[in-house]
Amino acid sequence: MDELPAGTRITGTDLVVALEDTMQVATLRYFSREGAFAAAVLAASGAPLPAPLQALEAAQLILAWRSPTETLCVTRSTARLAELAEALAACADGCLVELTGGLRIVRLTGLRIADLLCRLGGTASVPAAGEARRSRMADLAVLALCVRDGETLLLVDRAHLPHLLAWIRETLLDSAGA
Amino acid sequence: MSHRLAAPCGAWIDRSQPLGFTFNGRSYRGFEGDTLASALLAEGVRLVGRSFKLHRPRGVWSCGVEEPNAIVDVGADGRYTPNVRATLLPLSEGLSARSVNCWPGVRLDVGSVTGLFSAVLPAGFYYKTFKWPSWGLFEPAIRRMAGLGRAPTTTDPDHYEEISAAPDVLVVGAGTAGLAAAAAAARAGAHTLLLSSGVHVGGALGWRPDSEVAMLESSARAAGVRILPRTLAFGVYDHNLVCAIESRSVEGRRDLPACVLRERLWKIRARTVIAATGALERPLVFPDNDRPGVMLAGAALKYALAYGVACGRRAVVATGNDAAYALAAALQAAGVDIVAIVDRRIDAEVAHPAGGRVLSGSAITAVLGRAAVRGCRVRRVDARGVGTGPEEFLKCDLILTSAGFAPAVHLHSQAGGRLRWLERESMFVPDGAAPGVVSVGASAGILDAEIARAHAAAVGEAAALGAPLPPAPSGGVGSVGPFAPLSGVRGKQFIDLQNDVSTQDVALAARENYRSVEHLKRYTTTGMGTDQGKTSNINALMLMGRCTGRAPPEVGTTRFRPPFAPVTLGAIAARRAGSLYRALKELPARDWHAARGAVFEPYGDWRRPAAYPQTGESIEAAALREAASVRERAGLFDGSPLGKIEVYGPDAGEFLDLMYVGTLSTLGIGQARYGVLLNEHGTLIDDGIVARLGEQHYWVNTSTAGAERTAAAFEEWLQCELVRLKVLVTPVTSRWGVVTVAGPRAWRWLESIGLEAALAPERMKHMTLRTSALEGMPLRVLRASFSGELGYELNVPVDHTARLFERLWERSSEIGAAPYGIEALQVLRIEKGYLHIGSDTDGTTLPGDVGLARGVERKRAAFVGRRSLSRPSALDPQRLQLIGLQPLDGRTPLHVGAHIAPHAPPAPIEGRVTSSCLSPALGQPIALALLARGSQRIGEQVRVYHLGVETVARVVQTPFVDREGRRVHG
Repeated sequence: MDELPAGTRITGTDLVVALEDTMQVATLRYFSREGAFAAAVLAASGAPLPAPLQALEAAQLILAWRSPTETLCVTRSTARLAELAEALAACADGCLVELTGGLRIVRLTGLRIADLLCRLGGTASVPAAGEARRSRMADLAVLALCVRDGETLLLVDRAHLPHLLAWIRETLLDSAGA
Repeated sequence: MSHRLAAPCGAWIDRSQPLGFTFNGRSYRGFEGDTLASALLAEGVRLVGRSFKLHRPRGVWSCGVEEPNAIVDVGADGRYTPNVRATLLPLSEGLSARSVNCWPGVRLDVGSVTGLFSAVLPAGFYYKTFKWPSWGLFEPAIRRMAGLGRAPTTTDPDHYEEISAAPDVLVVGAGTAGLAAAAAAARAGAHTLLLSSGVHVGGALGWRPDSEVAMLESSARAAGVRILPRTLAFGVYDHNLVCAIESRSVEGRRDLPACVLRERLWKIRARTVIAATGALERPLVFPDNDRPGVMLAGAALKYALAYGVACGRRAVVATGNDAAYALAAALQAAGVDIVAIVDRRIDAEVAHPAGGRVLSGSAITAVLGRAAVRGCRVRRVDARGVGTGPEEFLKCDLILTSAGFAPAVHLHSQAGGRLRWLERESMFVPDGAAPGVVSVGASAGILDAEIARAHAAAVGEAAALGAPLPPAPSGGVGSVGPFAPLSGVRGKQFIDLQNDVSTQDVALAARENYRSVEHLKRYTTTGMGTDQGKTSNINALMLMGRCTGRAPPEVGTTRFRPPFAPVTLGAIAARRAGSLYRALKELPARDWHAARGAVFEPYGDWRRPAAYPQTGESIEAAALREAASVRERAGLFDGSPLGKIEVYGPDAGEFLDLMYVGTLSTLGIGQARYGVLLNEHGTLIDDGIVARLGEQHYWVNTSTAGAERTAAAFEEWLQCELVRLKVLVTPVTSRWGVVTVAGPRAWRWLESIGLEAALAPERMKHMTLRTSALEGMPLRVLRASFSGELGYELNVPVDHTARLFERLWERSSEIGAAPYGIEALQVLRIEKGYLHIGSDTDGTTLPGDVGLARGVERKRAAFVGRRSLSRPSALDPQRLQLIGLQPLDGRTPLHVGAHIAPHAPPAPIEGRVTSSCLSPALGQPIALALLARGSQRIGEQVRVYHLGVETVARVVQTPFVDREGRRVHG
């Protein structure tokens, strides 16, 4: 990416913050959770569309609820995303829109994820394992999703990524000095 | 004379760690654990400040948050903090503090001459006095005198942060009641957070040798209570949000690193908040009760036992309640000679525990000494406050005052809780629990320690279990005498020390019918300032009651508003300072622009290149050069912030027809059309280009500023009104970078980097869209122009943006092209008379006002805002209409915002300049303006006024250049 060095990584006590450069993102938009589109997602990924606030991982795809008509799909595999797009192309009751690059992903790993997130937003911003929560963090709209304990992904609009990272960096510096 | 006491007094200080500090330029010594106030008292410093209005000399009055007098400026440069309470300021090595509101110094203060005129400076005097000849004449001087302290002038180097927490139970206050409540809540399984405003827990018992405190603290910790020291809850807001400030560093400390985390703002949402905030001591009122050496009795005891400081050698205790007797005994034991207890109650039945003198039914009628107490006169008084016997002189250097207690009901009241008045104890207490907030301990009016602890524990457990809360057994303070200021005495009897509000002022307010407690506050200023009347409010309202024949509950209290204590602006802003002040969006090719010399400025939500100035070139000159380059050759512009929305679904065409004035459902695949959006009032809110990508698939471009609001408006219409339509709206602005190439050589340039021939202007018409690719980069190529020149907008997956810029840049010298910024873009679009929504429109502008009436007339179908366009106001011939202006002299710029009027102001305004520039194509200034009946006034001369300067201009048709619109076709 242009605005930040590839592989940007910030390390704090019991916490690593890393910018994901290789993950693909798409949004699945649909009119109904029960239609052909939903069935095609199930067939292609092996998982149903996630329930409200749910995040799940299936067949290299992370699916995260974003709104009643939208599920985000995150994957490291360009091929898997292409397969999914192909499988959904014929469905008239929904569409897949590529967002790769437009949404950037910050990966948090370690024991102090909740400590950091409470300093970026409200306590409602902190997802439990299997949850995706969209909230205000660092004065930005951020989707935080967690598919397993000890790891959380923050999805933020690309144009706002420098602001989010600067906020995180300053927070961790202060934590180190405290 | 105040002085340091020997151990065991001084439980909180470490005598092995002496500290040096300065106050008003003089050096002093104290100990680790001291506050600035305790250290000053230990050094015999009595005079610490001046009052706000009369500049009367003042000493330390309290030992906590309620302090009205000992207000100091601390630190220097970026770490300078005004109006810090010396009573809470931990002492540190090298600390430097100064008194506020005095010049040249606290001992000799020029402002004290106002005291000579105090008789003619009653409450509200300036409302009456400074009316003639004009308030404006006096206002500057009064404003200079107003306020305490100075605002810092240099940048604060430190950091502040905010943090959220959501415990089950939040306990505010770590006195014994708070500790008991927290421990019980945690033992019952609740996740419990306990806020302690000071370093030490225990509240009023924390500095006494009381094993109960240690036991409660360890019990709370063992149960899992998280205790936050130095964290003061300052407000309860909607939905039970409690905000608190945690002090992370020491104010004024010299040995701090370059940047520290200074304060932390806690935002806490708990299921139940338990307020254990204690009570504030209420002073008695007597003549000259503000002299240095007069202070709250409880404070003197705390200074003695916690800090090892005797606030005087010989003390007179002026009281009206039972609690002061035990306090006097404790002080006597600590080494302070209690000369006498002067009790206002005639029927007081409490004996001096140490066998000293008790003067019942008596009051202090005079305080001797100006900068320090030298003695006082006492006299028997009746219930009305009238002297009935001879005066007696008592030699003393300390007068302690205690009239009872005022429970700190601030959080309860902020949460919407009601209060009730206890006549015997003369205090307001919570009338049950407030929504989400329950009071315990002294803040609930329970002043018996054992009863308070038991009740608090029961409340803590009930809160944890969601059980009904036990009622508060308020009381336990013994009897408190009635409030009665003295009559027939000399000297001001102060109610509010910080604002110099005396009993006379309150009486005057009553006479002038400012009887409401809220009016009383505004008229006299009682209860204002940094202390917010913590020791004066109850006395003020009781006096108002006496003056107007009402009981305190009838008078009521002023509304308790956050913050409970002053909060720094830094803490409120938290991280939002410096580069984090505002979340500006960054371009995907920011570094590329920076490498080309771009000067970035914020435009709306984005940080964008204003221009690419060459060495020694101004932004304005660079913009003209860049604009000329686009007209003559070609230019390269980053249009990535343009809003981009994918609209998908079987009803997408119908939906867009409803949203836009134009008809979009008839677009063929690959065609594009300009459209404007209106709101329900018919007002223009955005414009842009809509292209059709497929049968059910549209590509909507919005203005940069309109990207988010247009997507939100689409969603709102779909979710609330047009629910039958099957349409999906997906904003994709950040997914696509936009590289704009414009100018007569635009295609030559694009061809040179390998774009396919099918995109040539002769094969791809203006306002069409094609999908293409270049070197593996997928492209959506739109032929459109905001400059009036042949233009291509290359939409590229955002990660390729910088690469595409670079590919074009590599061939730029062959073309003679240059990048251009926002300023040049403005020049180009003004020359063409292109509308910029928000600059050339306002909240009343309709399509017909900007030359788009034809589009409305041609469309037969419905669209949002259509009905409003037929309202009488929309058809008014006097409406402001967008036109062009050129100065008659051909050289005077027409400034944006300048008014158009028939003659110099005051005059009816006919319009205003909305956009302006120097046109490189015409070599003279041009402007766009909204002008009444503008379209009918082409050729007229109008007068344009800007900051008193008149410029005559001619109304002209737009565009200013290329009226036939040929250039856009290449």
